[in-house]
Amino acid sequence: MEKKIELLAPAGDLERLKIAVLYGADAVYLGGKQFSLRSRASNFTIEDIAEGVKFANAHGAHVHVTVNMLPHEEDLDGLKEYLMELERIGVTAIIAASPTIMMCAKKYAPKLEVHVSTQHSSTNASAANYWKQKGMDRVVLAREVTLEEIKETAKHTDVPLEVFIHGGMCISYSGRCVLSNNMTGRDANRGGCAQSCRWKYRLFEKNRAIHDEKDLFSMSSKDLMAARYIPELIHAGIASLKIEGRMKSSYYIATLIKTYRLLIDEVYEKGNISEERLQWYFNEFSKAENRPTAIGFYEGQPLPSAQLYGVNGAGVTQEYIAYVLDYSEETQVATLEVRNNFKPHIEAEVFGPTITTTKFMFGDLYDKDGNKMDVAKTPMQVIYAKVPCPMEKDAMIRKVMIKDRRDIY
Amino acid sequence: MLDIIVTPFAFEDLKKVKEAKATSVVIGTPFFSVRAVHEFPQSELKNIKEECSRLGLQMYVLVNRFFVEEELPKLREFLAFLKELDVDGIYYGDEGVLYEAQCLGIKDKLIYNPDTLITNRMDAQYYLDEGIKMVTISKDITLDEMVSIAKHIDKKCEVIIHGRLNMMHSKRNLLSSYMSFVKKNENVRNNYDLYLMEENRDEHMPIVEDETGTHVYTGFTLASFEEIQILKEAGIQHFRIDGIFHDIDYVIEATKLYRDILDGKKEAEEVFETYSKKYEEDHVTHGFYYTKTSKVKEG
Repeated sequence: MEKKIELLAPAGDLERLKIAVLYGADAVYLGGKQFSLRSRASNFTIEDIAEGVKFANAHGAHVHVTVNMLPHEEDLDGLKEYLMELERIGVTAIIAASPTIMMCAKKYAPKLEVHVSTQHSSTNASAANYWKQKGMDRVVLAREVTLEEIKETAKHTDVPLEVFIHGGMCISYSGRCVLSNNMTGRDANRGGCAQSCRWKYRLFEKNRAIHDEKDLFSMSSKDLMAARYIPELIHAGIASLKIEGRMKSSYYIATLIKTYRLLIDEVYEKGNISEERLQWYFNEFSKAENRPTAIGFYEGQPLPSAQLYGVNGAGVTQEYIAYVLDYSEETQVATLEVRNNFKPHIEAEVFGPTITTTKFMFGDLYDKDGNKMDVAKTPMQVIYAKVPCPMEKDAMIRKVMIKDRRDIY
Repeated sequence: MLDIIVTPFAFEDLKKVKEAKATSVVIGTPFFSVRAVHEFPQSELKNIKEECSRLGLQMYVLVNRFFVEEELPKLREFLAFLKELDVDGIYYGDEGVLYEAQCLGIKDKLIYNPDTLITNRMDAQYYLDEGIKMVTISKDITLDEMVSIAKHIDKKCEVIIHGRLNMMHSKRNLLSSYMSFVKKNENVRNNYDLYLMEENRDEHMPIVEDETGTHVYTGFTLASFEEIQILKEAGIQHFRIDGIFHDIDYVIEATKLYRDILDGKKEAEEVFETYSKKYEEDHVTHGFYYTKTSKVKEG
């Protein structure tokens, strides 16, 4: 094994960037206000990015910036200056789809690495080698390749490869879909995707309805979860494991990054992962889920069970109950910021930058004035909790929930 | 020279489209071609090339599949075959094809048609600078944007001017998966009579599942009778008419109408009006020519 594989996390804003880095990401990717997809999640000003780079670097991590818009004629103004700014403030790489943007970076900001976006749907070594020949530093593979194909591709190219291991899936080959453009006037390749694929549709053959009235047709995919394949991806020499989700919460990011960090480190330590340990990791991942998961294309054509029918898949759990601002070992009191409502004396779990998931029973809860509380229910309220186990700043507390997903197809 | 590119459904159609004054044909073949109106066996391609040469038609072959690693040897072999055949153009969307064509020294035959990706002049010019034959401008941008692109680059770009446009291509078998979920036994493979309607809308969007996955097409049929002259004046020389979901008569009718408009024999506005009435069920529109999409999610 050569250079340790990179765990690449999404960062929707500075707060989530910091969480991802604290919980163990080797690099984060984020969108600037310009030239980026996912318009709502791309709100970093140059100052924010600079602050993010500083924070990441202080923790030995890197920042990648998505410059992945497919610009229309009017969109290209200021590109050169923007790329030079990114280089100046210490960004490691840009992720781009437009060759104009890629070449512009190579010419004017040569210290930036250029990573070819998954929008090019690169599915083979020849595609990767094409980009290598153009001087690009990394190719993000399409989600439509199997584990075997990834391994074979890696054998036939020496350009570093990045693969998706977790998160939302485009049902289409990425970048080739204009459902959103057609149905809502929002350009999927310029950050406006409305996820029209996840809507419900009736299906007809000529004039005859062939859909089921109760469960309409949909093109919605379950999220990807490829943890099982990480040992093989590491052995295949893949450069980076990417997690999708710039729109996702801090809690989601923290749970996933923490778990993947532990898993990757365990693979490096032991060379592999036992089935039993894998089940433990799966259970940890399930605490972050807001949509059921499947294995994408890793083992070939996805089965019907990899699709989402009947549910819209946007379920929100109230699992995440508090953020730890501080902890005193002496008094065994944690200072918490409330996220979702909870009562004293319930069972809960804490996990943090250095804490692996630990179950505990809450003691009494107190408000700022020292009054005992029956329930903590005001989001962002700062409270004090008597806790029996060590905690740390930036840790998170979740309810213990039994997730039965048998009702989801 | 103005190039009108059409989609034949059979060998006999080559002569017919020539008579309608088309100048090029798009030829599909099994495995390598996606969304072809017809797949001619590879063994027939030589005859087609000879017939095209005899008629003075350009033969463009669709090699627009995404290739996975183990399919690359097959791709190499096929590109070598097309080189020997001396076809006039090769449509592709996978950069692996560009790389392999370069190795064979036939980059100048390539036509880059990445569906959605060519949306500005600099990206178009980038691919032309790679030494390929032409690029297909994205069908999802406005007329003004197309004109602006065409005006600023070498004249080697193609616009799809007529037909149902593909909106998305999934590698998944979405219809079979759904039928398995609802436990229905319907013939959904290679069935061109299927369409979707969003639960609250009445637009009919054709959907096809085949060996390459699932394709969804626009609920409208694009017609460019009123725009072809403008596009031509901007410098676009290659225009494609796609007959998918129809037949050769449909393609010939459209070809003649565009020729008549370009020759000043027919009035574009009238043609559009008559045509859209005749094909009312197909919902004939101006596509995205006058519809600007937005970059952000509103609200």
